[in-house]
Amino acid sequence: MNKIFISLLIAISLTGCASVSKQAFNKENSKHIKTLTLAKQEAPESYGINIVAHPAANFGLVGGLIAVADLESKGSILTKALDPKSTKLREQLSLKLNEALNKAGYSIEVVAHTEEKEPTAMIAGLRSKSKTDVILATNINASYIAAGPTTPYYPYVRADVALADVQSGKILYQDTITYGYAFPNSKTIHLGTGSDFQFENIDKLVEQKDKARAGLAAGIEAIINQVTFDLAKN
Amino acid sequence: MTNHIWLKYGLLFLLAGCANPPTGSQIVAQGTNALEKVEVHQSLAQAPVHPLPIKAIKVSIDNKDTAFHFGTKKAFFKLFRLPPFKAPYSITISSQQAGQFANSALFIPTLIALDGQFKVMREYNETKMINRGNGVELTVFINPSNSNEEYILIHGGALKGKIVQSMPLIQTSVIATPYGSFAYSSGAEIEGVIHNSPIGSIEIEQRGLPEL
Repeated sequence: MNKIFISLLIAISLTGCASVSKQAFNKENSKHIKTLTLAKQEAPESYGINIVAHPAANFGLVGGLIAVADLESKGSILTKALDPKSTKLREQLSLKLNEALNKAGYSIEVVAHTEEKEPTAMIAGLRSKSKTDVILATNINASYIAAGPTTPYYPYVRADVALADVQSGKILYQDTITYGYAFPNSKTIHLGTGSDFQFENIDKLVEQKDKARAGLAAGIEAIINQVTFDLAKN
Repeated sequence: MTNHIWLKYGLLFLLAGCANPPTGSQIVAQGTNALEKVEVHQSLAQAPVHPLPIKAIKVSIDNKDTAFHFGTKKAFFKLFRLPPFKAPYSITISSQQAGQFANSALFIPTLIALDGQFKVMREYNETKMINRGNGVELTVFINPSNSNEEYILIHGGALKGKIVQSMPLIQTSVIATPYGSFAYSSGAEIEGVIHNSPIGSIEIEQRGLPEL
């Protein structure tokens, strides 16, 4: 997961933007939707590190490879420090989204899946087994990002979200929601700066792991609020 | 000789790049001045009407447009005629920051849906917008319950003031060495100011209407 996410982050850093598939939810036209399958991500999670202007990346292909290796190594240190079994961002997302959407009037069925896929691909795989009106799938990734080697790290949580009609497969809602570090020209829905959770360097991140965890959890909370707001029928 | 001058100009362009865009403060000052001088329409019925664009386009809302008093606030606006209702569709408007990275302007639109007699049916202001990228975005649906809506009006100027925030910046400089020049990127954090602007441009996109 880390390698794919680091590549994605580097691509965003280099191009300045990445396109986002989006579909707003038509609340009035969706009042008939009562039951929802929530696809719970159970794939192992890890946390990445990105330094957008990594000094090594200035020195061609070899420098780029050095930068990727350095970021992967820092990501492994962070993942070990935060311990996915304690941090459990995907579980938090699933539990709290379940609660929030239940309050918003949906009857929820939770289905676990262990593959690391885009939400639309997850939905395609679950449609034949689902007996609800719609399926909601999310794919979240979390990391800490710094603009350069001497600037602070900020949390960055990115969630790709999609909701589709089980019968027709039609996408009724889709977006990418991010929290924390802001990539200029990014086309995602961006929530909060994460400035309460900035860290001077990787050592501080590892030292203050509870605060580092809280930074990522704040992103999950913000994303849940946005999805619930978007899908609430009233 | 002439060649020499052209070479110098060429070098200048290479070094300086394009001319700097105006700062956010300059955009706001230009909009505020224009708004002070403009005469307002007494009735929306007199205003120029544009058909709702079928394909996504960028439109400016500035001193080339007409102005009106929305409550106590004077603002430039554009009026779009909606096609007769047949099936649900959506309209998305978005506005991105303009100006310079550290001093930019953001036009925050207000969208008003009106019936055939220009009576306000729905109004969406900044509280209904989402932050997307370096700007704001709003999507509204035209459903059967909105079939009496005949126009949408988009105006700005509802908010004044500015916000200051810390922003990550990637700086790239060209470093000359005896073996050639290369670009070196480094990261920095700067304090950026975003001004609410009474003029700007929006992108407007509909989804669900058949192409003509």
